[in-house]
Amino acid sequence: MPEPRATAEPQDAFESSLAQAIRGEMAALVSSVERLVRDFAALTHPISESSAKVPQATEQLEKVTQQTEQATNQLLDTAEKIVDRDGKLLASLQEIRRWIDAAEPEQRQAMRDRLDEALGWAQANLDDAFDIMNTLQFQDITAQQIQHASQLLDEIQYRLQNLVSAVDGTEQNPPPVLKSRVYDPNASIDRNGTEQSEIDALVQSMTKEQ
Amino acid sequence: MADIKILAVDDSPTMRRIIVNTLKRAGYANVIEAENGVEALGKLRGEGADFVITDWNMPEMDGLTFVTQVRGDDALKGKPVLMVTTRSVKEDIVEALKAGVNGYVVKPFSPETLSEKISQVLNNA
Repeated sequence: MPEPRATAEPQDAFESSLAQAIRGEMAALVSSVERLVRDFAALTHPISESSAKVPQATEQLEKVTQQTEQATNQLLDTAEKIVDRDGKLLASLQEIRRWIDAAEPEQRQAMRDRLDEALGWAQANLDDAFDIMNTLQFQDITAQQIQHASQLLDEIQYRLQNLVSAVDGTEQNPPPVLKSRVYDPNASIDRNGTEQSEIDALVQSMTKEQ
Repeated sequence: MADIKILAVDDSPTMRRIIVNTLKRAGYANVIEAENGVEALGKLRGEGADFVITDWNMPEMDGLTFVTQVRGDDALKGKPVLMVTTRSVKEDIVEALKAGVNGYVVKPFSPETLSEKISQVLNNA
């Protein structure tokens, strides 16, 4: 029966070329995997090295927070001293004003003018000292931003260590634990969320509902 | 104004100092402090206070849980509470209001805003 042989020949040729193509693809795939494993193995050392540097970076960030807090507290100490001293100065100047009122009429105006000038300076100092205090709120916000960066570094280190463990076949590390301080990851000095006026409107509408 | 006792709750010692100084300048001289919700509840039940200013993000017990506990306590539920926090997302503000805060201020705040909100909350209480 010549006919079936005629159809079997192209079928065999097709299967043979398919098998050859599959073998070729398989060889390429195996070669790719081998290259990937070699690349990963080569990367393991730099990854381990980079991963080992993460705790140093975290430590540095924590030092920034500590030193900023220390400097902020020194500035607060100074600002509080200015406020205290200025409060006493203002009280003394106001007492002098009362004495002036009892002084000779021809001298009063000149004395009052000088005194008002001094009172103005004392008040301006007080306002500036409070402005300094108010500006120091940045420390609480940057501390939270640094805490967030530190947490991200810990997570990167965890992922890198697990990648190395996967290549080495060693045991995986436990996930990083959250630092003791709870923080807001979106804390910002530049107001990027809801404006105070919108918050006030929200408070008002929700208070009315209740 | 001088007779009002305010409890300032914040885990940051810097923020507590700034809040205390701002309050003193505004005429509120009687201020006590706590560094988290647990300590704040203890102080409210022990020393007592007429008004509470609380942060949100704190260890041990956060501000939201603290407010919920205050509102669930028969002896404390009427205390006016102002939340002062860095959290400025609308959903957070709604959550805090639902928990029972009477006012909400986002850090960094101006002394004027803090004084104004305290007065508003006290007038509405």
